[in-house]
Amino acid sequence: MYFNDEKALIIQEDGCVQLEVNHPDYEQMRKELICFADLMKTPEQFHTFHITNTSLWNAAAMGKKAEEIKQFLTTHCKMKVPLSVIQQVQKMMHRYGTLQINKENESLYINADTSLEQDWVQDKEIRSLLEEEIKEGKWKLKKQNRGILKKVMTSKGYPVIDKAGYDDSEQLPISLRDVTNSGEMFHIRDYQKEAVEAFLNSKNIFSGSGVVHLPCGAGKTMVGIYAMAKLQCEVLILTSNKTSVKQWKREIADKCNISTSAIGEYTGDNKQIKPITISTYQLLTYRRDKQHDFKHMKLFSSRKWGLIIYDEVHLLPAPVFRATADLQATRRLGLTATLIREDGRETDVFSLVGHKCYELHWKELEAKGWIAKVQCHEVRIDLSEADQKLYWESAAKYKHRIAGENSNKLQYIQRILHHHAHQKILIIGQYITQLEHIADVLKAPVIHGKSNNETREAYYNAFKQGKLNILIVSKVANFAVDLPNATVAIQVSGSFGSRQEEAQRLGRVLRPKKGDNEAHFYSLVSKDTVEQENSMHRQLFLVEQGYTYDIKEVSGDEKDGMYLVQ
Amino acid sequence: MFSEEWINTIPLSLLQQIREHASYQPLLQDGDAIEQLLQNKSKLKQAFQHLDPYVKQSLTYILIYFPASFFTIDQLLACDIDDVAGAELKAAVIQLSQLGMLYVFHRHRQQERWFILPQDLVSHWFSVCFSLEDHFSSIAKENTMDNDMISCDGFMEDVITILQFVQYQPITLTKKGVLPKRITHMLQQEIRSLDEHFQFVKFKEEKYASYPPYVAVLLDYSLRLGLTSISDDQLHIQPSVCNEWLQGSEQEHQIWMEKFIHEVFYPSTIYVQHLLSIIPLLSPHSCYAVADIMNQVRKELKWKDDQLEDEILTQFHLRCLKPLQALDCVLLHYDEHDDLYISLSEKKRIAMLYLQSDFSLLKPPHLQLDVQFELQLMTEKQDQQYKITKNSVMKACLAGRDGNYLCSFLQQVSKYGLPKNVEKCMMDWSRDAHNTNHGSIHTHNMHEMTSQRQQYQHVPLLFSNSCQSAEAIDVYNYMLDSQEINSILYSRYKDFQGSIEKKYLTFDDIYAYPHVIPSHWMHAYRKYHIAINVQIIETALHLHTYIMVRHKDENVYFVPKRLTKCDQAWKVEGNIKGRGQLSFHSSDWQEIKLILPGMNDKNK
Repeated sequence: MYFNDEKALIIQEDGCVQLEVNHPDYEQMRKELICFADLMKTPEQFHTFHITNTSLWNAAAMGKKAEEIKQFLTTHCKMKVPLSVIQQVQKMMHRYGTLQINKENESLYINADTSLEQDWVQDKEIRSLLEEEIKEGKWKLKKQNRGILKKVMTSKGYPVIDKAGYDDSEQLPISLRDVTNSGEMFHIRDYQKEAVEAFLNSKNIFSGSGVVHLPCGAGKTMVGIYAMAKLQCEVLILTSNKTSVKQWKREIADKCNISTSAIGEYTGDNKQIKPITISTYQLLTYRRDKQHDFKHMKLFSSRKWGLIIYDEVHLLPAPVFRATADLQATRRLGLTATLIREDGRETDVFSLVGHKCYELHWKELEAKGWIAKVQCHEVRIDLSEADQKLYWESAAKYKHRIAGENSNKLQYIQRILHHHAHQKILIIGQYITQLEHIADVLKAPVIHGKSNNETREAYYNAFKQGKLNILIVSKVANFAVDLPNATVAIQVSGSFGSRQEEAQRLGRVLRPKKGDNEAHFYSLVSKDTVEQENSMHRQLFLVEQGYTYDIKEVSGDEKDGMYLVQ
Repeated sequence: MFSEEWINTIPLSLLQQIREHASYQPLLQDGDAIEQLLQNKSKLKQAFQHLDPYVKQSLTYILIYFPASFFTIDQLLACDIDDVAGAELKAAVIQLSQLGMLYVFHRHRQQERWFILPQDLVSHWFSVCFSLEDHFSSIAKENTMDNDMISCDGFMEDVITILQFVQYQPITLTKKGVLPKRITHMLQQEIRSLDEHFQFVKFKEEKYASYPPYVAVLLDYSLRLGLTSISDDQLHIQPSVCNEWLQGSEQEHQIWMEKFIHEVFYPSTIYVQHLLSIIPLLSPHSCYAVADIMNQVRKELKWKDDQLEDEILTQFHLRCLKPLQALDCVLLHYDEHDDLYISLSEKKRIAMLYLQSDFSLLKPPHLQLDVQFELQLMTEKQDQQYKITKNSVMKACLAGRDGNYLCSFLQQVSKYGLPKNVEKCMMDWSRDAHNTNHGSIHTHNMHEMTSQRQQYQHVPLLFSNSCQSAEAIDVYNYMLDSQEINSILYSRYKDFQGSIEKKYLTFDDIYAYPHVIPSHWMHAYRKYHIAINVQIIETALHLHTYIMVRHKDENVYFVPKRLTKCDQAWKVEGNIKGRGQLSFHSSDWQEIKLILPGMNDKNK
């Protein structure tokens, strides 16, 4: 039969494989698929995997054969497997291992299997990156082109195994504590260990470089720390903001047997370069004007780093992309929860920092209790009369903001606060005036871009220590802010249709909770406005991860707030 | 012509005469229609067994020389046929027409009768007469690879795209009578790129050559089936026909497609016609090497031009298989040596899809057409996936749907139901579509309109399931005189100006002036004077028939080919049926009898 619904897979010509979640063999299929395909999204009924060149090369590196994959796909597909997919599997797995970069006497060479067709040599772009042909199947490679050659060849479907290795780095003895400085028992979770093992796996085509994908609150910092402990070398850590720099520093000092004097902050206030140095993307990309150089980029070469950690790697700015291309002799670890970029440069992250080497999905971790179970609510609120008039009379470019700042939202914030009284609540928004107004009414502190670091730290600490129940934050808290005890997040406005922002904001309440391990995420949107439309796009990433939004509509004169939760 | 159409066209009296033919009596049970018998392969086989041997043989020759083409008796007689006498061929044609197995047309001006095998029975006859399919070796589909250029069921999706394109209001044609280039270009963006598959289509008129071939094929299909029509220089949609088409059974769709193929894509080369006729005989579960099919057909049908083998294969591939592949009738496969294989496309349709909370829809390859139509109406195709978007819901609303309808439809066909968030959004969007200023909505269908609202008001329920046709619809508005069809592509029978023969043919229709033949020539087996013998032989030659003569104390059937006078005597050359050539001198002639097949051949 051409279509057999009893089977588990739907395979598309573009290499997307849809696995039916309710299929009795789901677990087994999933385990098989993950060996040669990347898990892309996990909505309720079908989980989407993508067979990519890289996923196939990694499968080949792990000893998987093209025939096994072909057999698996044809056996379990509801319909016939598209030829293009079969051809891709055969072609890409066949290519694996035929090209290598080797180091001989400090020079780099690319060696090719001469028994195979050398069609890649005809490619002008690849040719321009090679120095000279030494003999058949052997070319000398310009050292500075190592990264870019790998990027170009990978993008053209030729996997190059880089056996030239990494530069020697300064050693740094780091060990993990069993009991943290703060007196708590500490151990690395299994999936965190697996992530680092996958990163360092010598069989992996991009061994020693790669991106680890874990949900917010899953402990990506611990993955970085464990990688440092494994490699025992000097480390440069790049992250998104100063708060995060401090968190990294605090966590390293708390979890590792290392002197705090070995940990340096390289920020606007403090330019320390130590065996472990933590800096921000913002500082690295600072320059006085376009005519001047990025003077802080020298940080990359200021020590013999054995590892560079890119925290929140999805935020990697373009100049750092370029600098990273020259760092092929240094191990690179990217950490992210949401590798989605509205500029579509996700692939650049993969090719320069390294490919995705480990991923755990949100719902998977939730099921294991490593992150909180979050109930998502979208509350659609009528525009207030005044806002409605303003909204319809305004030009399109102002509508999103007017809808975002809808004054009717305030009463629903109060109802939610009332409903979740005594819980730790974050109110997150886009517009400072709106947030300050809410802060005034609620008599709660607010943190935004203009708040200095001391103020931020003070409020964050007070919140963590239970001295504050409500904290109002702007987008400064979108990333890398660790507030483990927050159980409710109320998003009052956001940046248009940013999927990443939505996911990161939800991530603020994902840290496991004591008791029922539950949290709530409310998104307040103005009904029948562009904000409602953008909201759907914002939710897309989370919906793809298997989250569902409970949508409620409320009118302005509604008095009962209890409908908000079941 | 297809059997059903022919039966619906001929007078009832003629149909009754066919029904009452003695050969059918054991086969036709009470109430059975003649077309049911003809469509039933095993009954057809039984009917074949009841035929006279020379009729069977003649039928095989008709299949070989005119598998699905009109022919005259003279054309049949001119074929290279040794083992059946001309009069037998003629008599066979009459007998086959009396059985309704061969259709007769009359061209009054030329005073000619033309014959043709029912197009839908050609494959059946190949099976009955040659059992060709038993000789093909097949391999498992799994051992080959599909050609992915063509996705399953894409043709129907593209037809639906065309219909949805036209549905909002008629498209005004240019002065030349073709679609404006801009519209053609927009259409091309929405459909698959398959022009290469139709590089050999012929256009009815030069002006249509401006159409990209695949656009022309889609338009032509919709016109021939009456889904669209051209009037007042506009291309119109025919909603009731469309509804009928969307809800047509698998079998009906197959017949409509076969008609379309017969009209437009039937090859002119006889050998390629043979190959094309074989395709329906293949098992749907197997995969066949095209070269193997050709070799078997060549052997069984005794092709003569061996040297043209490659050319025939190429023609078959380019002119038949590629269009058929694009029309989703066959799947082409290749093995590791790049050899071509063919299998039949799956026809079973499914009314189920998968809808996810991220607004994406996954669908099985052969979705029921009415479901496919709604799906295309309410979604946007993004890469390989269908997505429900605000724009797509608005588009559906413009076509007369509302939120409740869309949601209940999806609830009904989605294996896992309708996710709540999707339902909520769809209801909101449909409400917006009805409230909003239609002028701000943009979908690809919105061409050449004065206002969106006007458009919406015109076709509020077009194609919706609640829109039932009030009258019986003849979906395939087939007409023999193809001049009357608003078609774009060249029709096979374009030049054939004939009408269906409404008379029941008898042997008198082939033996001119039988009354002038002395009856004892046909009924007495006796010796005559040599002059009479010569007259009998001359009559046999004239009628392309044979005589019974005594040869070496044996009665034989002799087909005279040439009569010559030598040395005051006569010599006749010819062959004895089934035994080869022979010549008689007048001194050899003893008893003789003229045989007219159909008239006095029953005791031979």
